[in-house]
Amino acid sequence: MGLWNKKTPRPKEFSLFYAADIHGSERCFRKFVNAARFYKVDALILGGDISGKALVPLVERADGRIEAHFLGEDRVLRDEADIEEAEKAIRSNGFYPFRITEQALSDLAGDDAQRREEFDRIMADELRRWIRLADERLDGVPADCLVMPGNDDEHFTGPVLDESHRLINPEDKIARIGPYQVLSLGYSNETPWHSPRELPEDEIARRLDELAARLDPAVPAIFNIHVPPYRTALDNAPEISADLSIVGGSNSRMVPVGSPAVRAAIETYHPILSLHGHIHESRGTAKIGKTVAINPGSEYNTGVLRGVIVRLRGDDVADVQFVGA
Amino acid sequence: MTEISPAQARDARRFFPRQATGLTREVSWIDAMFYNLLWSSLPLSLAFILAYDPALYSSANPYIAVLAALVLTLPCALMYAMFSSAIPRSGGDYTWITRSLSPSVGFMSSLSFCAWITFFIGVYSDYLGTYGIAPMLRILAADTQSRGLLDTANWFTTETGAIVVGLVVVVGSALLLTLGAGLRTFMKLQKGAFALWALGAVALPIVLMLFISKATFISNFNTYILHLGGPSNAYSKFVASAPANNSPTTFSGSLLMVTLPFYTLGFIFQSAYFGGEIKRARKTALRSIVVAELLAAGLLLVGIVVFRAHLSQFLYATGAGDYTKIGLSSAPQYPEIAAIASGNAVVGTLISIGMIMVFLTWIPQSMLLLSRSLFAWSFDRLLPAKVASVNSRTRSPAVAVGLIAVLSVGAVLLVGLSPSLTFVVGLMGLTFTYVLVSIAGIAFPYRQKETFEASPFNRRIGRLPVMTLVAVVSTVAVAIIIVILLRDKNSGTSWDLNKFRVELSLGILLAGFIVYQVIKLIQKARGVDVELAYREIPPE
Repeated sequence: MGLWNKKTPRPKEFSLFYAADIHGSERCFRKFVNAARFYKVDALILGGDISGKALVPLVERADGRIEAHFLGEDRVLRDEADIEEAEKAIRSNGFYPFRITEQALSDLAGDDAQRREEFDRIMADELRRWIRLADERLDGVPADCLVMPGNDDEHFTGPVLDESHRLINPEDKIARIGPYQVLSLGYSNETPWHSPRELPEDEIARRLDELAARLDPAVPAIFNIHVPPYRTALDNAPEISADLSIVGGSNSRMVPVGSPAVRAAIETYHPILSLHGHIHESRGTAKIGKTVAINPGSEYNTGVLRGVIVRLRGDDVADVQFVGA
Repeated sequence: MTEISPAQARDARRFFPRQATGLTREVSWIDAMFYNLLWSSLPLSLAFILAYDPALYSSANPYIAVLAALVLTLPCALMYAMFSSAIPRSGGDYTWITRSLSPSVGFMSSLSFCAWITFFIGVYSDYLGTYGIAPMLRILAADTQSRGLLDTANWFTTETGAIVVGLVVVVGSALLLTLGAGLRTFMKLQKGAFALWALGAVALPIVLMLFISKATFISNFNTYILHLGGPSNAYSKFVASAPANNSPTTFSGSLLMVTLPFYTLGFIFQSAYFGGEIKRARKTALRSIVVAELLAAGLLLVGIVVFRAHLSQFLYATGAGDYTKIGLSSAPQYPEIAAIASGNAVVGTLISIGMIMVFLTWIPQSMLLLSRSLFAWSFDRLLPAKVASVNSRTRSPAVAVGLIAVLSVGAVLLVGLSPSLTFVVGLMGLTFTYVLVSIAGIAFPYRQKETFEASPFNRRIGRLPVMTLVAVVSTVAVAIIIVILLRDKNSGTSWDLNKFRVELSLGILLAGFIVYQVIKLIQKARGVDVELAYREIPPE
């Protein structure tokens, strides 16, 4: 047969590194922007939940001491070296350190609106600092770098990401990386925490349909959707009660919490690859029809960047390798 | 599972959380402590201490043995608390060793640990018949004076009975874990099963023994044996069947007995494996592990005191006497003795059910633990990707559980057909992992400096990290335990009597290293660098 048929050239391999849910861990972000060089991949994708979850005040007392409550204990920071070390540890765990006087802290603690405003300001400032770092580090690196907000990011995250000249915020767009097109959505379905960017299932379905309509049928598609598809083992999380306690305590039960709309979209549009985050405990791969769906999980709080290197060849997912250190 | 307690979250002067996913209320240290306690094999340790001291350890003082085991295991427990606070939710010792020492050593340790846990599945499946079902049926046989029940009870203590029960339990557990509804039901029933375990296998026997007199026990025992078709005055005959023990108690003799309490106290930090999203406070990890250890040691000591108060001669006979002289097919053990003391079949059955729960909860949980290891190896490209596949309908790890079930069946047959392979034989292999975790603890503050600095246990004494110091003490303590296991003629891994088993334990450990290197080469030939999975991207 080979004598008569023209031999089809083997498609060139294209590789990408995907991670998600770094939740303010500066150590993880620094690793992410270095990943293109380290793993020698053609594209980087950060699939949402970039922002940290808490502020840790470093309180300047009247007598000049600086105190912080961190990792379950009160700490007194004696000099600048102590403060820098504490700030580094706080950032590494995914929180935001900020210095404040005793009086200002007292005012802030009693004023929800002011505290909210201060939190947003600090988050935006820290994100801009990260963007500067990424723009600098990725200068001269040929890989595309997509960074998308997730459900835990505030609404201003997308516009702040757009300020970067090197990072691409792909949300609500069809972005191109090499020979592939990427459909991205960072919103999640509704959670018990009422995080900033959640949508009901029907709205997720509507947005995905709208985006899918813009896909070029001739180009293989990759989905970059923060929330994983429902009942795929990429979406198992401990069951949570209304008061945000883990049901069963230490004998917690895992339940599927992914999105049926996302699953339906994958089943309808058959992307070759579907990348997800959101559920940190559910690292793994799943097959939905011909689609390979992946959730690399997250351990941002230990400074570990959990991710996955995916090697693509034409319409095939040639290899999937989980990494994380 | 987070360090943000409700009180702390309310206290906005110290910590400002915002509306974000994952910030759950933390599991209290008491909850975690009970979890640790319930995953220990305390009733079995107590059963073996009561049965084999002084029958097998003629010059041992059991109180010294328990206290020595506590002192020798606490440093390693502290290591687990520290590591689990620094690197929560990561696969436990496999990740700790991999990151602190090297991937090949991490895999070597993990493979060895899993091999010996599989062996223990065989042992526990085997024990279910002997220490759970048989005593329960014997108690019911005595109450109903039924020969048929007695014969059935005796069958469960035979080789065939033990193997059949073992196979049923292993296959049943595998089905439970692979059928979605089964796993959910198991997880729901777990707490109830644990409650029965605590009540039946620990609380009831100890309380009963506190309140009965020696005369009552003798009377109840004689009636019990009569009802089972045995001779009259069985108590005296049984006690007289044991040869006299005139050995004086020595400290070195007591140290050799550490093997038995080590079985409980050395494996009491399961809470280290459930990490949370936010690093837990030092107090939570420490309290849940250290208090569980202290409580377990306390319960062992109390158990020994109350049982020996009236029954020291009788207990000696259970280890050294001839049970066939009173018509039994096996010596009565701790739960059966407590049941006899109660003189009440209902109480006796409850105690037996508690003991059965020890095994029935441990086996499926251990299979789950093993499946997590197989997943980790598969994700790291050390096993085929298929092993980590999840059934889309039941969402269960069917391939991994199937593989574990096959290996466990092998363990059931091995243990069932080799009566000398008791639980103690596996202790040596598991202890090697503790040595490696302890050495990893020495290196961790230096090899993973930033993770260490950002952890709750980042204190130093002078320039020396406290974690390194504890790890050095732990390494020495675990080494002492290994020496004890090598010198104790009853450990099953005595250097004088069981050299091959010691070599086998070392061989399994080293095999992991070789297997890792072979897989690495195979994957390299396929264009996959397995070490990428562990290599840290430089953050700077």
